[in-house]
Amino acid sequence: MSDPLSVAEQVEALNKYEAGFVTDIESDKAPKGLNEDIIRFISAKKQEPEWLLEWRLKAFERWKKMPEPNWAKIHHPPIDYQDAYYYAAPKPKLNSIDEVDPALLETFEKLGVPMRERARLAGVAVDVVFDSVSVATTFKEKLSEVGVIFCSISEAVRNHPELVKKYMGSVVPYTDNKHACLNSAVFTDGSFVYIPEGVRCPMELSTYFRINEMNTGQFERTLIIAEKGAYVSYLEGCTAPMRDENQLHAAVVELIAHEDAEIKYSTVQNWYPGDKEGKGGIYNFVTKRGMCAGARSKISWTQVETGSAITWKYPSCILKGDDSQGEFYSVAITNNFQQADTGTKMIHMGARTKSRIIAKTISAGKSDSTYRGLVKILAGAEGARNYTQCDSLLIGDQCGAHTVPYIESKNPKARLEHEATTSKISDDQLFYCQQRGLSEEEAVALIVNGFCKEVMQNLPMEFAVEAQKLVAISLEGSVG
Amino acid sequence: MPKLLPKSLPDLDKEHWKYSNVNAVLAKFELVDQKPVWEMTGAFEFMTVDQEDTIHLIIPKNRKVDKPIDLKLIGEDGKNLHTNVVIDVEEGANVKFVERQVGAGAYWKNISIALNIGANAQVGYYRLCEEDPFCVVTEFMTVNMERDARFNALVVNGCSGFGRNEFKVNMNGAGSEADLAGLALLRGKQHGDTTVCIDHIAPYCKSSQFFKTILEDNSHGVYQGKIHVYKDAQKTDGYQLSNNLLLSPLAEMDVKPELEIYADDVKCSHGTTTGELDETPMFYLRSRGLNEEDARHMLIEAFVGEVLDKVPDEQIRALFDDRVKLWLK
Repeated sequence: MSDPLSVAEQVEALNKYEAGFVTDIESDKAPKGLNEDIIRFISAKKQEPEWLLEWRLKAFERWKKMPEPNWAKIHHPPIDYQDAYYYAAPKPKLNSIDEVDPALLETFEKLGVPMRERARLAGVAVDVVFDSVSVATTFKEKLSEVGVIFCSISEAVRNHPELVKKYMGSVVPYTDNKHACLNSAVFTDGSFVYIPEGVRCPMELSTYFRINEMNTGQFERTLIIAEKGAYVSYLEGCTAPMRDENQLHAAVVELIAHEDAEIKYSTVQNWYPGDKEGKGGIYNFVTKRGMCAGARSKISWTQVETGSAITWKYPSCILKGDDSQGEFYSVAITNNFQQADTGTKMIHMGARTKSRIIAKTISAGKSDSTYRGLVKILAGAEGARNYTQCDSLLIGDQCGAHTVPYIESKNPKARLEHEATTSKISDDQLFYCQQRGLSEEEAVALIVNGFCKEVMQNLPMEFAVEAQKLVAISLEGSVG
Repeated sequence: MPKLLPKSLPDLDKEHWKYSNVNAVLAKFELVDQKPVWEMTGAFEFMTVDQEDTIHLIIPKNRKVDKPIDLKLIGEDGKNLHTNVVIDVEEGANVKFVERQVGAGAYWKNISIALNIGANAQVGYYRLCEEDPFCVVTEFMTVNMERDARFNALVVNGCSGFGRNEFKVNMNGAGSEADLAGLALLRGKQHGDTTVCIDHIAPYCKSSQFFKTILEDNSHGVYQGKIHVYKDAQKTDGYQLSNNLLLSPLAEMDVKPELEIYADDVKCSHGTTTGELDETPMFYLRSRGLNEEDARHMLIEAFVGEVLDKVPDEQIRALFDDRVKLWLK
C-alpha cells in the first residue's frame, strides 16, 4: 500500500502545520515545579477565596498519592511534573480589546481568528484563553441582556462564587483520576457559562485555547450550567505553536443540564502533534463529563481530534434524569507517531434514557489510535437504549487501529447494540474518483471526509468548514 | 515444552480479569490438591504421560481418526485439580474431541490444554460442561495453528458455579481458519466468563467468534473477545459476534469485544447485542395462536440453535442439542 515516496510526502504534510509560531510576550510566571507554595501563589494571583485554596490543597494532597492511569494503549516516558511551569500569564491586565498587545492580536490573526471581524461577521463571542489568563471577552453585553453569564472561571469565582462552589467538582470530583486531580490543584483558567431558566443562548459560544509559554502545561477548567429548559451550543478550538518538549495539558470540563435543558459541546483539537520522529507534541489528558441531571435533558459531544502527540480523552454522559439523552460524535485522526486513546462513557441511570455513539477513527503513518468506550446500564434504567458504531480506517501498513468497547448491562428491558468495522480505502473508490479527474490526494480527502460525514454534520457551520480542511491537511501525503 | 499452569490466578486489577474475581471465590473454599485422573476413550494408542503428569496426545501424520476421542474429568468435593494436557495433531491428520466436564460438590478445576495443529490438519473440539453449581472451573486452551490448518470449536457451559473459559488461538501459518462458537446458559448465582483472544500472526487467515449467553436469576455473564491482527497478517478476515439474552432484572452481562489491528488490508468486524427477547417475533408467534410460554420457548430454542449449527458433525450436534434442550426445560 505505502511506497517510499509517501514518507517524504508525510514530512511535507507535517511542515504544513500552520499554527507553528511563538509569540514573544514576556510572561509573569511562577518558578518551575509543583508544590504547595505554587498552589498558594496561583490562588493568591487569582485573588481566590479561602475555600477554593483549601479545595486545591486537598486535591494536591490526594494527587501525590494517586497512581497514574495505565490502562490506555498509550506509551510515553514518565512525566516529570517538577519540570514544568504551572502559572504563566500575559503581563497587561486589560479591559477592552484595543488594549491587547499587538503581538498577541497578530497571533490570533495568523491562526485565522480575527476577533472583531469574526465576532461581528459570524456572530460568535470569543473568550480567548492565551496561556492562562483570559485576555478579552467580546459580546458580553449582548449575552448579559438575556442573563447568560459567559466569563473566565476566575471571574466567575469572584463574581458568582455561589454557583462555582455549588457545581465545581460535582461532575468530575478531584478524586476522579490523576490528571483531573492535578487540574483541580493547579487550574488557572477556563470558561464559565451559566444559562438561566428557559433561555436559549442567542449565539454560539466559543473559546480559543492557545499554549504559548515554553513548558507551560495548560490546566483549564470549564464549567457549563444550563438551567431548566435552557439551550447552549459551545465551541472549543485548539491550536498550539511548534514545540520541542512535550507539554502536559490536563483539562477538566464539567457540564450540568437540568430538566429539559440541552448542551451541545463541540471541539476541534489541532495541537502540535510532534515532528515526524515523534519528538515533541502535546500530551492531551482531558477529563470531560456531562451530567444530565434533570428529566428530558440532553448533552451532545462532538469532537474532531487531529492534533496532539497523545490524546487521552473520554467525554462522557451521566444520564441520571428520566428520558435524558447523551450523544457522542467523534473523528480522531492520527498520523506519524501520534497516539490517541479516545472514546466515551455513557452511564444510564434513569428510565428510558438514550445514548448514541458514532466514532470514526483514521490512522495513518506510524500512529496508533484506539476507541475505548463504556456503555453501562444500571438496574434502574428501564427501557434504556444505546446504539454504538465504531468505524476505523487504516491508511498504510505501519499504523494501528483498535476498538475496545465495554458493554455492561444490568437491565433486561434495556437494548444495546454495538457494531464496529475496520477497513482501508478501497482501490475501487480511489479509482472511481481518479477517473473522474481528481488527484489521488483530493480523492483521499474526499473519501475520508465522506467517511466522517456523519460526525461532521453535527458540528456548527463555522467549525464544519475548518474541520473539513483540517482532515485534508492532516492526511496529505499519507497515501502511496 | 508447554508452559505449566500457574497455581494462582490474577486479581481484578489485571484488565483481563476485570469482571471475574476468581480469587475472592476461591478464598471461600478449603481445598486439598489431588492428582487429576482423566477418563479418555479412544485415546489409548495416542497417549503418553511424562514425569510432571502432563498428558500428551499425539495424532500421527495424515491419520484420520473416525470416532471422536472422548475426554472426561470428574471433579470431587473439596479437591483442587490442576491438569495439563498437550495435544499434537500432526500434519494432515483429522480428529475430533469431545470433552466432558462433570463433578459434584465444591472443587476447583484448573485445566490447561495446549493444542498444536499441524499444516493441513483438521481438528474439531467440542466441550460440554455439566459441573456442580458450587464448583470453580478455570480452563485455558492455547491453540497453535500451522499453514492451512482448520479448527472448529464449540463450548457449551451448562452449569458451573464460577466458570472461566479462556481461548488463545495463535494463527501462525498462512491460510488457517478458526471457527469458535459458544453457548453459556446461566442461572442461579452462576458466573460464566468466556475470554477469547485470536492472534492473526500470518496472512490469509480467517477467524470467527460466535458466542451467545442466556442469563436468568442472579447470574453474571462475561464475554471478552479480541482479534489481534499483526502487522504482516494482511488479508485477514476476522469476525466476532456476541448476542446475549438478559431474562432477569437481577442478572448482569458484561461484554468487551476488542479489535487490535496493525495491518491495513483486512476485513474485521464485530457486533454485539444485549437485551431481552425481541417483541416483534414474539408478537408474530402469538398472533399465530401460540401461548406466551411456547412462543418464548420457540424463540429461545432458535436463539440457541444458531450456535449449535456451527458443529458440522451430526452425532456430536445431537448430543449437545439434547443437553441444551434439557437445560431449557
